[in-house]
Amino acid sequence: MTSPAAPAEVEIEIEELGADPDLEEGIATDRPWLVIVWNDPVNLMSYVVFVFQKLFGYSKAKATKLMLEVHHDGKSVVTSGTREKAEGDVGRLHAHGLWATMERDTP
Amino acid sequence: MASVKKRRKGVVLELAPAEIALLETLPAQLAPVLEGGPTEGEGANPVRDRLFPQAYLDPTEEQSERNWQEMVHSDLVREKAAALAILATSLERVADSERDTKLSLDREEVEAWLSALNDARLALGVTLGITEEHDAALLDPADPASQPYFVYDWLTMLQGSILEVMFE
Repeated sequence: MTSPAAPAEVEIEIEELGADPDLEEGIATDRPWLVIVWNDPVNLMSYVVFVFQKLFGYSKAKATKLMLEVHHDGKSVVTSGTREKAEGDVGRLHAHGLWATMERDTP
Repeated sequence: MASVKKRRKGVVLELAPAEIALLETLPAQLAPVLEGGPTEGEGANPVRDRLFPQAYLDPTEEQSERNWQEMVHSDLVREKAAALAILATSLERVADSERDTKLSLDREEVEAWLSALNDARLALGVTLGITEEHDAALLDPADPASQPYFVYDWLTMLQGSILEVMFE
């Protein structure tokens, strides 16, 4: 009489495990945060290259490539990493007048 | 028109009295945008929204956005105000000039000028509704309404010239 109840209990436990918020956060934090610079009509191309080199130590070639992505595609991912790193990089970019945002990389 | 020449550790600008007078107004013009706390609601002040944009666009990160604004806003204000203060201090060396005057800027001053000029252009760009299609050549010099656009274009030319001689 009691035996059918056992498998049902196991099933419930598995469902609860799947909904564990800590576990979901654990999976989500594996994905890096992306720092995105958006195109705007005011910032000079040469200034954007200068800022990328100054803030991130990029070569002129890499900084120019990223600037051209912003210019032609409307945006470019310029750095990535932990949430804290991305928040710091966005702050530095805003200090220099670039329009930057951050978002979690898509799985 | 201002001229910009490279020096070993900076640049030398040659500025007309009217150009010096214009640059001297930038700190006071930007001061109201730098006052107050973090941006209160997007759209309330488009110039402030541009100088202090959101970090998170994702609406589910609203709390992170608020925390981030609280953490960085005063630092950003301080940094922008410091750049404007350096610009003002270096301009004092050529204040009251009655003819074109040379002004030497060291590397630190050049970087402060680039930030200050950029913030002034961002603010003017929002106010004037500057778009990618903006073309200085199409402005009518006889039209008084063109005047702020000439100011914007002159600031663009100055910033671009400094970048060109400093970093190329």
